[in-house]
Amino acid sequence: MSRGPGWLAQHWLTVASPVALLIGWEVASAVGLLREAFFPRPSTVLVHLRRLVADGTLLGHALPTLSRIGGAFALAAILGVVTGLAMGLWRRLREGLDPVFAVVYPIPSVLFLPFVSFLVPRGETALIVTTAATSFFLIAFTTTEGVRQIDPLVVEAARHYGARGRRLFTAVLLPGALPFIFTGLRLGLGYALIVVVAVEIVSASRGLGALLWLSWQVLKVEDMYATFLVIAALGAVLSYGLAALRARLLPWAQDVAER
Amino acid sequence: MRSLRALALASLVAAALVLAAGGAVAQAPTVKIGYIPSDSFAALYIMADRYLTPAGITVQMVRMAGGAEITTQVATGQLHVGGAGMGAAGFNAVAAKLPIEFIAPLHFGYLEDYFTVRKAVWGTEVKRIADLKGRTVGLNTRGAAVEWMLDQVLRRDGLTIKDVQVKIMPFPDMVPALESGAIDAGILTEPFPTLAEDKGVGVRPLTRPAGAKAIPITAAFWNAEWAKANADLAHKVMLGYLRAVRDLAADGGRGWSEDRNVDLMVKYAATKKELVKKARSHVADPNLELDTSTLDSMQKLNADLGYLKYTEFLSAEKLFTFTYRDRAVKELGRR
Amino acid sequence: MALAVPLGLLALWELLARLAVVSPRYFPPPSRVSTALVDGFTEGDLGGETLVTLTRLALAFALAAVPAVPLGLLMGMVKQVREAVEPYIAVLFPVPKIALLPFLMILLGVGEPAFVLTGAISAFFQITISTLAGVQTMDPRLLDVGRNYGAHGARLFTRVILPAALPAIFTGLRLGLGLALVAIVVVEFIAAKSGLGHLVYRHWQTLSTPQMYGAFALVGALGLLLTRGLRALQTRMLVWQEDPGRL
Repeated sequence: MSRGPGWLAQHWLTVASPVALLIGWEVASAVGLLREAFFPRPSTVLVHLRRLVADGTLLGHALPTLSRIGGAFALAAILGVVTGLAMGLWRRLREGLDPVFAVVYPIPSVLFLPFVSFLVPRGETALIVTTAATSFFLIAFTTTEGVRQIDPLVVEAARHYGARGRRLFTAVLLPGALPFIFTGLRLGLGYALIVVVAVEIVSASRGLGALLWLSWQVLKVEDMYATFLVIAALGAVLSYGLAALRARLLPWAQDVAER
Repeated sequence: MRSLRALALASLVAAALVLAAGGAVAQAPTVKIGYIPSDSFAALYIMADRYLTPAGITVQMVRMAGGAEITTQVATGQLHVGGAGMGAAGFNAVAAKLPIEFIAPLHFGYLEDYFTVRKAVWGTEVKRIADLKGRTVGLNTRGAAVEWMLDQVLRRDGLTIKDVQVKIMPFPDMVPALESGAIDAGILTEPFPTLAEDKGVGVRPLTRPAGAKAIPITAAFWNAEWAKANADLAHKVMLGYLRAVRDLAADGGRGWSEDRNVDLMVKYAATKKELVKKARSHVADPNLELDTSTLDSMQKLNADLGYLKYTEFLSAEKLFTFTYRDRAVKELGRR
Repeated sequence: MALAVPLGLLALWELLARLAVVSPRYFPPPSRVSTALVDGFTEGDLGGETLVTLTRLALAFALAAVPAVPLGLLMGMVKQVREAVEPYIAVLFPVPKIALLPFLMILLGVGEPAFVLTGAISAFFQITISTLAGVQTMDPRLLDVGRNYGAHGARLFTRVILPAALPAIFTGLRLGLGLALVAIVVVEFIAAKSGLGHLVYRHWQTLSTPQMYGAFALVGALGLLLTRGLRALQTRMLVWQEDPGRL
């Protein structure tokens, strides 16, 4: 990961291009080529971002979002991995659930909000369960796939040497499926952010999605940009951070989505 | 190789689609007016159909769902003229010096005519306004006049907007929502409260005190750059607008239930004629003047809710550009 | 056999709703949902709303695919282009695209262009990334062989690079179409006043639940058709290649 001056010399465009864009934007907005009310200067956006941080507004909206992502991800991960392992192990279950999943999975999570809000108490619980939906399916899918791709010969050999039940599971199946599970978790976490923003736009008064939407509704344009920056940063941390974590924890296992 | 050809064909079709979409965007110069389908926008309907179109001005009426949308569209120049409940979007737009000019009040009304409670709960679970605490109340948008109106109503019994759960939905949806219990109350604009009463799903529990003054709720505005570049046209629009408002204000406000006006409301708000005639009338000011103390109160609520991007409240003279109105009133004479 | 579980679930739901074990107001029996669906198509304008969603989807997909495939190819072949464009893709790809909607509405107004473009952007990044991956992961020996046989410039591109990247491009298009559908439906749910997504929202707001579940099921059917149907198409069209984007 070390990127010395050699890297910069080779990849200077990667840095120069966004820098040039930001400077161009700043200048264009300052001299009136872009309408400042709709395209505020990057420096103005930073000022507003600082203000949102300083007066606690941002924290007040970021914390609910983070806790919803955390809750939804935990829910999706536990249920998804368990369901996925079960579906990978038992053909019957897999064949039974597959058609259900096939129909439900492509439906955008936000659309579950009405259904979920009938099912569980309104408010936080409904938001978290809705946010978990797509991630759950994704994690269950990849986990199933992970179990199924384990070489049957390996399982056979383990059985031969007396691995049964829990031992077979912890010593063979789980490690074998782990790279897939991890990919599922990574994608699932990314989806949790995507969904939570949409869910908050529709149905929350707190949260980054809610802040973004309200800023648009009352035309606080600078706050819109600032909130967007925070959401983008969160997206980058969630997707690249987890990929880096996997490289640390499971260095032997390549991310299956990158194969 | 066949798949390659199929792909090439698909790209060609896609390119044609894109071109077609682009071509549809170009259009002839017209006055584009944004409106929300409700009786309160009657002055815009009358202006368009009775005064602008016959004068050879091409008008395009664009139906929208909320005031914030119309405000943005006018500020960006996608619409030329519009109306909306006075609220944060408009206040912020003026404060940010966006090219949007509030030119005159659009309609006035009484809180008591808007505040509607679900019939199934009124008198049982909800005996007074304070009982609405924690319950769901419908508004059509955030940060606009309706939010202030709800807050005003709640304050009469010791609550504020923060004590209820606000649910955002378009006006027409509030009637079935009152019926099903999706909301327990709402700020509805005519003809929807009347419709709710007719269907037996809603009641308006508050009675207007004698001598109450109508509150300015919506305002008309236009794109300032458009008005400057088309000064003649803008003046004609203003004259048409003033005439339309006077048609409604005529006869002590009886214009609101006059057949020819009602027909236009039916046309644009897509409701039934009997319903509009039965609805409680809005109020219009024949000289397009407004009581400015409401503006301060609205700004105060919006500031409390953190909606405003400025701290020093704008005066009516700052918020409104009255020069066009004054010229038109002078030309047609005061009433 | 494959349908046993879904049918069983539906039957159970029907039974529970009929016996009022679950509130039929919130969970109407599937028979009532299907009646609402049929009524929606025959008497209502469910067909029209479906068409609205499909039109938006088609436009969004076209708007995404037409620039994304050439951009991805170009990025794969020209280092400078790749390096100049990569930072934007890296930053914007993980962002929930729905967060761009308010900006597009400010820019283009609240209307079709903003709605369609949100869907297009969702698909655009996926298609670009898949196309780029297709070029980058192609076997370098293919290039050598192509060159040895005298393929250069345009010929090298049309005969070697493009066919080699085609499976990845198709995968990108397929995934992109799925993402565009999700984005369009979400936009409809949030901001548009028409389309299947909006129907779910409106019927939720007014608690007309049979219609709500009907529109919901229709979105699922559409998604199923697009994801599974395109995958089947891909396996048939590109028989010689393994699908690199199974996930």
